[in-house]
Amino acid sequence: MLTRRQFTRVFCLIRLAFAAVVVSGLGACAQGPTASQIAPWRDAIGAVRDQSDAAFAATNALARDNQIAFAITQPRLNETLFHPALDSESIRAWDASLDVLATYAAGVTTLVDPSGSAATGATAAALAQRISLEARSTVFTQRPGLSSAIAKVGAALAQARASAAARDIVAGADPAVQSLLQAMRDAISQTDAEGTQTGVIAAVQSNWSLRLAEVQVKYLSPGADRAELAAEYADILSRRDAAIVTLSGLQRSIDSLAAAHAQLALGQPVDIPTILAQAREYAAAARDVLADLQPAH
Amino acid sequence: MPAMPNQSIRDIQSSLVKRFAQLQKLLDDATEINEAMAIFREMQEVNHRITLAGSLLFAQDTSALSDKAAGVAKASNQAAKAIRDAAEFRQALAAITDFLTLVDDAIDLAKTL
Repeated sequence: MLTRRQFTRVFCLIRLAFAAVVVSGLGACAQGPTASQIAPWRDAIGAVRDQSDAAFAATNALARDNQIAFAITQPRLNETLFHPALDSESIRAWDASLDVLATYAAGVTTLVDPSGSAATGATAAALAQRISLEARSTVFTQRPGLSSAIAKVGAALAQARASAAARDIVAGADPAVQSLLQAMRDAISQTDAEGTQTGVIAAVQSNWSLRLAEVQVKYLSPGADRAELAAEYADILSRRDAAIVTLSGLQRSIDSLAAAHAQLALGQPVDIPTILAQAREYAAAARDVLADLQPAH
Repeated sequence: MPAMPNQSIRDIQSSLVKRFAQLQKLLDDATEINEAMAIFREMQEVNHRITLAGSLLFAQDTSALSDKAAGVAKASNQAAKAIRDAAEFRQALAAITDFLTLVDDAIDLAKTL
């Protein structure tokens, strides 16, 4: 049985063991983003990348088909007739921006990963046990739950410290994240004062409309199978709408990412799983549009 | 040749989009094949330029992304530093534990001498 004096001595030493953990956890009162919030945000960036890859490939496939049709009306064949709607260098720059966002989110996710804090708590408990042995104390054997309790306290403090650091990083990064996502959104499409859309969506819209126009011209030809052409026209209308939806959906996903990050920066709750599900749904739709544009083998 | 300012390209594409819409309306109303063909050919010309303008806009917009991404990369570096700090702190605690174990071993050894 330990005397009161021995108890005091042992606990003084144990306090020293995780005093540094306590100090490191100070100032970590406000709630930062949790791993369960920031990890889905990172995953949503991955889904947006899938979405944009498929949507951009579909845009290029569509434009290429119309360029071939246009080229045969020209007196000479040359490379300028086949300029890609979205060139590979620009797509790489787009993907690189998404990579930067994903790397940032992965860093914050790792920072607030509870396993790191649990390891710190376990290390603090091991140190406390070692100090106790040093003092020839049997307090840890007498109280089997003490080591676990110290580990939990150490883990909680380490988690609070990581959470505070993540909160500061996310808040500090928010203006840059908003600026980048806004620029990416604008790269897809902008609407001028008269309500005319410009950018990638405008190009996709006109390319699909040209396909519709081709059917309209055939419809006026003598002996045209009007029933078949009307069905083809209706089919192209559906495909055009689907293609526009994939690009406007890409913009909506980017808007959702920006809004979610702003809320994370303010320490507000965010429904990121819904954003992730939406981005995955748009990505699947974009892949369908792309598959539809691929030549049949 | 200096790159055309982004807004100028956007204005040109906007004008082309409006012209394309006018042609589309004319085609919707056309009832004669030769007239329709002529409108269609002009639509092809305009569409080709809308696509080119869209390509130029996308190229300019995406080339500006790297500057904006630099601000996010800075935050990534801060997160990486915080992760390193946490790991170093954990290592420091472990080092103290190891040191105390070493001291115990040294004392036990001393007792045997």
